[in-house]
Amino acid sequence: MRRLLALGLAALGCAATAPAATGPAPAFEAPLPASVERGAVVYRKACASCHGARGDGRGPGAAGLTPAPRDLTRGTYRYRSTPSGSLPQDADIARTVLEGAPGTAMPGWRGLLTTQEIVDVVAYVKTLAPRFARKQPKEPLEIPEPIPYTADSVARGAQVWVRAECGKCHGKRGRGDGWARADELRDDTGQVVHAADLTRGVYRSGRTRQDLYRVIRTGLDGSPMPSYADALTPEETYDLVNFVLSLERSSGVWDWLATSPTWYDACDRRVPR
Amino acid sequence: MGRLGFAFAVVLAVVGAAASPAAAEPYLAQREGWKCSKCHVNRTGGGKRTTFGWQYAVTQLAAAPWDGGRLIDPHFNDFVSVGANFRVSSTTAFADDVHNTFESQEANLYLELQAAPRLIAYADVSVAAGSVESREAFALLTLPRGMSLKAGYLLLPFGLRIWGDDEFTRRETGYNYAAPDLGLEVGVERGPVGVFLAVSNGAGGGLDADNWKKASFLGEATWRRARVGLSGSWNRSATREVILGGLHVGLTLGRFVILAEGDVLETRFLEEDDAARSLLVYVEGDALLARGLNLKLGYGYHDPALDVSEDQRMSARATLEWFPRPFVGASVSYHLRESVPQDEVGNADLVVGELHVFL
Repeated sequence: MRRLLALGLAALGCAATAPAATGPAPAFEAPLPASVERGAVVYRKACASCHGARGDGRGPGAAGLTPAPRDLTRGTYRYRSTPSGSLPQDADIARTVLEGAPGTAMPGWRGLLTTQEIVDVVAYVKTLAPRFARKQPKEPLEIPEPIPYTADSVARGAQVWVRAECGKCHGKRGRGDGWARADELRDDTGQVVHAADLTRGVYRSGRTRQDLYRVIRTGLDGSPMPSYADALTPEETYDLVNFVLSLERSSGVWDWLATSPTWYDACDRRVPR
Repeated sequence: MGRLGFAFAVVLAVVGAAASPAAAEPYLAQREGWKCSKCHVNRTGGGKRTTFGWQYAVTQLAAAPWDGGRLIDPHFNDFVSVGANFRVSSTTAFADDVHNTFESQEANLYLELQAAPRLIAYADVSVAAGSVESREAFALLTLPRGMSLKAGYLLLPFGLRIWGDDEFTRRETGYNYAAPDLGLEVGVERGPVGVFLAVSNGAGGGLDADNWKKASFLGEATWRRARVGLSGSWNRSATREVILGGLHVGLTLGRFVILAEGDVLETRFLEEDDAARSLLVYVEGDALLARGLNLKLGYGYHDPALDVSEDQRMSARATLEWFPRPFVGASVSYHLRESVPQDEVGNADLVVGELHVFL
């Protein structure tokens, strides 16, 4: 079982340390076909307390969590490898279950749920949103190899940052202090959301450069973060990724003192440049 | 009694005082900015963990997860779930002589039955040291708008339900794990505010011998980085009246948590038309040194009679807590204690090592 789990994680690009090749994460093999019934048991154990028994994000543990747990009945997923507006691939949901969403209350279940349990709970989660019964997810984006992190690439990325108006939400220096400070950004449920502080090096959907590329290209459905797949070339996107990485502050004593590593920053690990 | 016998009696008393059935960890709630009810079935803290609390223990509390193994799920189905707290300790007391003993500080089993969508039956049973005792046994009805009604054998609401019944604010107030009572509790939790009012026999957990009841109150507001709470209690019998008031606060600064409670206890002796007032203080600082590793510094102060000088007690403790894996904790602590000269027990310093397994 341990070997299978390792295989599954490798297929998902979820290795803990190495910047794994990611993007369109392929479905992974479990010993048994996915079972909605078994998935319901896993969901009750691992998900229902926050996402609610019906998946509406109103579980008993949801109170006080910021951002609020996602309403899974809407079938709108932020972290996908598929184009904006599309349903996610199974592997996209599995990746979020395994890795969690650092900077939020969503924990990663890597090492805590078996491959079979992951496959099963993904199958069950899809039954919570009628949208999955009506539509199929689109093909995942192709994610090319990253452009090396160089001064030239970062400089080009700075120009892309200005042209794409990233600073309007993320702030001039990427601190998340653009419009978001004025509470003008809201998600599809009407909740106020804050643009990510990119100087912290905490990324909710993975910490490799391919992960950042994917987020920029697919956007975060249900949030104000749009897709830039049509606006930027792949090269420009990687230049922008490299610029974003250049915004990270180095961790000092004050960061250590001021940051609690549990829960909200559980997966705060820097992206290898 | 010979010198050896006296020393043995002192050690027994010291260890007895240090035997602190411990479950709730308010510093964790403070660190995350949550109410007690987020992680515990008992809305004022302690005892069985909720599904969320279990998940927190699985995914966040420990230094590292179990390596790919299948986790025990304490939720058998939608209706039945269990929990447990087991602690075994090794206590070394530094009185006239140095003595060491192992002890089962806590062995509690929890059972939660979901009888109806908003109704649970709950039991907390201690099986430590060869005896079986009920610590809590109640029915909890959850009502709309954050209201709840609890009836049965309860831990009453008051102050910070810190670990360690030997702390002055727990031991001297009588609001501790060793003193549940029969009664009724009404609670409201809305937004950041939680208010709980309990009415109980006030007869030490037994049947009431008079027509007076004990009233206990806890009101608390909890925000992301701070909390403030007020507590009150009133208990009267034919011969005396006990009034208790308390204020507690919590503050989170990055990796650091500060908790503090101050209580004033007034006992009125009705037949003698006399009264005694005492002051109880507890301050705790916690530092998260690394994931799963917590340093706790605690200070307790007790002035048993405000109008008498030179009778104060003090205790200070430094504890290093480590959660290497989910559901496993280990700690070592040093207790520095000072009391009046004739109090051998209160003056004995302690070194306590503890292993904690929970579910």
